[in-house]
Amino acid sequence: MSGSDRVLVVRNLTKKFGEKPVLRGVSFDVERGETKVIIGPSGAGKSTLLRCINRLIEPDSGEIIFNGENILERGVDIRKVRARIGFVFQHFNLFKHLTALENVKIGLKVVKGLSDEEAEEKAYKALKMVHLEEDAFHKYPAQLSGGQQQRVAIARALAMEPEIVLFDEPTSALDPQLAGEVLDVMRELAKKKVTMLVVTHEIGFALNAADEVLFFYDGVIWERGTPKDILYNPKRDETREFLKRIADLSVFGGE
Amino acid sequence: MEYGSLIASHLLSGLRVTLELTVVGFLGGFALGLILAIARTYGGRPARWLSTAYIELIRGTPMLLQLYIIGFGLPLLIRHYFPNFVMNPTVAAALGIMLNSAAYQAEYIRGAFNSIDYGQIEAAVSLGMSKWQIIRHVTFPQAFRIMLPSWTNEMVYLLKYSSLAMLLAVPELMYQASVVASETFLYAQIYLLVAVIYLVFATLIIQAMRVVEMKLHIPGVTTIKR
Amino acid sequence: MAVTATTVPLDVALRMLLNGTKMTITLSLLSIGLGFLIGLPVALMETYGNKALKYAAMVYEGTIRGIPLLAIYFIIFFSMPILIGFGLSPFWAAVVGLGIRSSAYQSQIFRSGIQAVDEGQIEAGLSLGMSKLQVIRHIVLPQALRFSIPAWMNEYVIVLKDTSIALAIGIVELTREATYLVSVTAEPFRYYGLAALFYLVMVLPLTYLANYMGRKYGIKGTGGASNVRL
Repeated sequence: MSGSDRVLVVRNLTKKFGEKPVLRGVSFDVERGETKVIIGPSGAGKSTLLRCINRLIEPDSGEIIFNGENILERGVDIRKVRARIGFVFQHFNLFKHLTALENVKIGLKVVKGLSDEEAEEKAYKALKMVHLEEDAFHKYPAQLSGGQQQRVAIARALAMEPEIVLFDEPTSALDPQLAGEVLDVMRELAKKKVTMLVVTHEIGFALNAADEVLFFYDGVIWERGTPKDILYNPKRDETREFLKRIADLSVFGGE
Repeated sequence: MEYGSLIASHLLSGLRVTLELTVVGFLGGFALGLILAIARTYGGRPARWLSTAYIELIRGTPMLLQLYIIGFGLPLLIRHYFPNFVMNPTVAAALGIMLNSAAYQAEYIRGAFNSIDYGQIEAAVSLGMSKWQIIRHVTFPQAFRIMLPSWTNEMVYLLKYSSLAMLLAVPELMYQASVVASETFLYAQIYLLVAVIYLVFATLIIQAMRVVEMKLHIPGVTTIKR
Repeated sequence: MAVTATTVPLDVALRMLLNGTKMTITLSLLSIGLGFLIGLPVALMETYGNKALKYAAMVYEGTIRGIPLLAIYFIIFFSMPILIGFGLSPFWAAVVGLGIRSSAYQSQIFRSGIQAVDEGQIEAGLSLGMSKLQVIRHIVLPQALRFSIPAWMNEYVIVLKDTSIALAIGIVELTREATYLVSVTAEPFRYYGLAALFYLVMVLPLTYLANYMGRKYGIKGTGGASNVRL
């Protein structure tokens, strides 16, 4: 098996909320070092999909094979798995009572059991990697801009040295300018071959950073391909319709 | 003033009992309130139901009535099994104040924990933290700070309402004041003086807690009132 | 209790407790009313008054809120006649004491309600040519009072429960009636339990209504559904 270079394999994942099926058999892989982008209409279940991967939400059926291990099986220590899967949220979800630096350190100390010095060193590195301004290191989330907060959140995920980072619409709560600084960081990470699975509406990012783009629609992966294929030459009507709407929005939304 | 030392000694000993009742009631109320809050939030159905019923029962009836039940009822109940039992009224009052405060503090605690947004808990879970690690490192440090103003309120409340213990003949400040007032006939002066003493201690609590709030203030978690 | 216990027929006991309840309700309504009559002007003084008025209102609130109701009662009932040569009957002393105490809390409730009305509306009112008083009367107060309903209902519940303290100056209300029954029968659990039930029947619907109103009209932070005893 060449499973070693596939960090994540998702097979036939299903999830219903009450009677409403949200995931109806989702399958895809993420290779090590790859950046995979998932696009699709809002409220269709992309967030649910990401949350199923680290079992913030329990899927109903299917397989999630992380590093060769099906993490949906009984007896899996899900906390150990989560520590190796980074998660970046739409609303940053920083710990409000901790400074930027402390936000990055807390997981290293509490979950990984690092000493304060080790954690501090790694946290510094991670914050440098996301280009957080040095004077912001000791500020609380409420004192940071949205872009800074999201970069701290990315650093918090990266510092854990995860094998994959899941991004749940990381820029959709940000103004265009602040979104830009976050996207720059993400592009750099893609270049550095950090394995990423990114749910986003940022078509530009998908175009120049993604190795593959998945169009998620109606609870399944509706269409997949290279960024150019999907974004310029979609084969299915639904994909085309979605892209058209995104384009319209950006005409109105942009300047 | 010829009665000066008499008044002073009465009021000082009363003040001591008042402060004891306040502190014991507050701390005991916090411990029991924490249990009630956890039972109401994380407990199974019976625990949740019991905790809710207790809280509603206490908050739905006057503290004075509760003190009477503890002061006059409880000893009777215990004497049924231990005929020689005598309950110290101060103990009864402290117990009553504690049981009363617990119901209110349980709700402050619950409210503070509930006010922490779910996203932070999701983030902590995603880092691989356990339930207790999340409580210890994420929710408690914030809930604790959010709770401080309610604690101030509760302490001042208990300081004032501990005066109801005089109706159980507990020798606290109000009781001592009425004793010394009837001995000296200085009703006007003594009750005003006692009011000032309460006011001073209420102000002390408020100012001290304000300092604590400022020391522990974190922008985005708490707001500092002017 | 060294009293020989006698039994009291249930209907007699209930009649006594109902009589006490009547007193409890009467006291509570008069007190909350008096508290309103004092509290609202204090709130207006504190929000719109000049520096001196603001300060006076603040001192009033802070002072009253730092003193136990029992001490207020004793001052009114025992100190006042000596100081000003004029006393109140126990009933009116009870109403005035509880009313004054409540006014200091009601003023805070109304102040929060007033502050929750946004500046823009006041500017709009002034731009129409209204006077400051007209703006307060026609724009601010109708909304402020509505915002205040939930917290104000909670305050009423507190007043209702605290009428029991009036027994200390000789008022025979619900808790006092129950105490009579207990001293005669030596059955504290039965009669205090019944009294508790009477209180719950009055209080619980009000708190649920207050919570409901809090969700409907409340402003965050003013204790619509809040449990903070002020």
